[in-house]
Amino acid sequence: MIVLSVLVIPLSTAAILMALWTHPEVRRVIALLGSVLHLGAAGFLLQAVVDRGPISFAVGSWPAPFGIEFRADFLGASMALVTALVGLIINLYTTNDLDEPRRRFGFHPLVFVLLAGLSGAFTTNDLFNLFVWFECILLSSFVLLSLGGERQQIRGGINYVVPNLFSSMLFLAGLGLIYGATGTLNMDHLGMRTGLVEPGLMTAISALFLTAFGLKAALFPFFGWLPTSYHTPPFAVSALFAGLLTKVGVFALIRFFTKVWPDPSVAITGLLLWLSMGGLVVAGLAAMRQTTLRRALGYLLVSHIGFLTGGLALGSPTALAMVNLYMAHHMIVICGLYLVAGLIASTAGSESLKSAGGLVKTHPLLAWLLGLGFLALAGIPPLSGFAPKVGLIVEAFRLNQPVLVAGMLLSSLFTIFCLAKLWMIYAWRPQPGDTQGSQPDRLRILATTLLCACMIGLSLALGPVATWASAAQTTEGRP
Amino acid sequence: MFAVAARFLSPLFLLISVLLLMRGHNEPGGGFAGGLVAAAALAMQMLAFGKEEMLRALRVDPRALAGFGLVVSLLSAFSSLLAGKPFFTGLWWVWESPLGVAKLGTPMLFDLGVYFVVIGIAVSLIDDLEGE
Amino acid sequence: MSDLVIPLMIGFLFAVGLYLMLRQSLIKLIFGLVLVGNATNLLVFTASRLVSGGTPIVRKGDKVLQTPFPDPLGQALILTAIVISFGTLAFVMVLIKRAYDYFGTDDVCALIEPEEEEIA
Repeated sequence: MIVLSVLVIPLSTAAILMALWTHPEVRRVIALLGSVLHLGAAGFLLQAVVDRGPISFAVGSWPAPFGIEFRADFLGASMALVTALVGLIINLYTTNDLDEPRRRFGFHPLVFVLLAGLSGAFTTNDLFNLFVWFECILLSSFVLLSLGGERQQIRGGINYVVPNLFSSMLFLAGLGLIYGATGTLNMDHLGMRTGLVEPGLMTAISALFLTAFGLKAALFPFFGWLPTSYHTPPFAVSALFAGLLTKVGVFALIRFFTKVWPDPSVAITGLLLWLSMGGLVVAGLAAMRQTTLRRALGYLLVSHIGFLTGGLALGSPTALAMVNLYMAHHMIVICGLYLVAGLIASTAGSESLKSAGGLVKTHPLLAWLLGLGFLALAGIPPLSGFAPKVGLIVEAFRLNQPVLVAGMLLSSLFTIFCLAKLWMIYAWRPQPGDTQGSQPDRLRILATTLLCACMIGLSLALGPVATWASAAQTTEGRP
Repeated sequence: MFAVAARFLSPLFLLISVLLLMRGHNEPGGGFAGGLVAAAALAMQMLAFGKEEMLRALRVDPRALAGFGLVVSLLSAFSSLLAGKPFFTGLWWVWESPLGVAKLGTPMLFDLGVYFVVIGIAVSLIDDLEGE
Repeated sequence: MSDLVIPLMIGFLFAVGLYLMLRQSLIKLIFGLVLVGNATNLLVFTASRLVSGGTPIVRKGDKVLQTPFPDPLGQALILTAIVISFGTLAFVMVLIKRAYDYFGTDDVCALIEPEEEEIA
């Protein structure tokens, strides 16, 4: 039951928020309350998983593999916890600050539907159910993206929705074929049967899934939609998407290539390796010449997806544990950076780099937060990005994949270069004269600071978390 | 002409939608199909008498209706918890009368919720597409 | 016979859908999405085996299902997928209408962002 609580709480909150359409004040309180409860449930779930191992739940008392089974393992539960955390921060960030039309059109219910979809995707053990959660995520995210209906957003909305819709269709086609080939949709059950299917057919089917999930994960070369859409909505929405959405694609890839098809053919892992390499380098290069912080972050996000998929292509338990860590770290850090970018844009009155500068003098707190985020994203030692990054590179070395090592090192280099350049513009350059910004709302600053505190918290707790993640990778055998 | 037809056809559509909703458990139909037919009735109202009239006929905000439906559906899922069964387990009450056997269950409640959600969402979409 | 016809039809629908999606028109984009969606649904339908038979519900008095019966799960999957794609397409349509309101054209090229100046 505890497994379901992480998705039932946000879903119920969304329903209540929608039913209370006309009471904005009450809804504000309920949104925060729902988020806190969600975070509590997710924390409880992770604690239980760490203590007792994976937890299963059969919906409606229909036993697996006939009914839909939910199964939280360490990877899923940790992702669900970060999702809940990001959800709470976003809710706090937008409590005071949302403009009226967006509030009226149901920003908060949609955020909760999105959170429910993500939590569902992270905990389900049924491939078709995963599809349903993906659609849930797609629908809510796409409405969130285009809410408000500014010119930019319409553009971004179409750029976002068409590839994602197409990816859903590929996912569905893959589902149909894999069901035809194996006769089951439960992931563990599939894992037992896919080995019996002709390898050539499985390679073809998994190529469908690779494309479908790769599109969602913004894997090279399918990432074009991300940098052309993520900079268009309000910052809170950007932050929410950047933190959570692509990671769910990566998560689905991990599920597919570790659970559904535990020993993928060399053709597929090789392909995944080269695609990761392409993303690491190409998006890293593109990040360096972007004209706003948000756009640069979009490309960096795509580049860092290569670390995750590269680790998956390596496939060893150590690599997967490191991917798990890196994913949790990256979700928090990239979301935090988008929020900081929002604060900076509102103090400067514009997002353009032309009006940026002088942050150290005018807003020292923001400069600290930005610096912390940059250091964490670049993977500078005491912060949480360093250990998993190094772990992945060492593992790639050990498994004799020099291409991936080169890609990861290049991406790190590009990231540092890009962030250093942005830091010099934002923090050290003297402030340009004419800025019409305003002091940002206190709650927004509080929310951003809290998330940055979580970054430090994760860095401090990295040791035990790494131990749990590795233990989960070695002990969570298939039943 | 269309207005006259709409005046007679809309109630008929609504009746059919309820019929579809009720027979949905074992026969073709259900909350989704029923909700769509009801939304079609409302769309017809809108085409005949305009948007304001349609929204007035609906009486509640379509988005709030969708939220209400979602709450109802979730209630049906939660009710199995009260009976001590796992989440989403169907519960049935059987009532035998001289006229026949009546069965009422939480899946029915779930379908009812879906019905409202579909009407709410469909009408707000029509509202959006029509709006100018 | 249908063993050949339906796969050919699926392939044809995919081809037409993709062709329409690659045209420079937002309306054709929607039609393309619809056709590809239908092709996918048919694919799922065929992949769960084509059998003609009764409804897979155990009748009164019977203990087991009367064979032959089609696999209900595949159809349930398609039903879910149809419902979902219905919702999504409705939203896409609203979005495309907004785009038409803004840009005054259904040309996809209107969506290309104007290039911005280099940073200092």
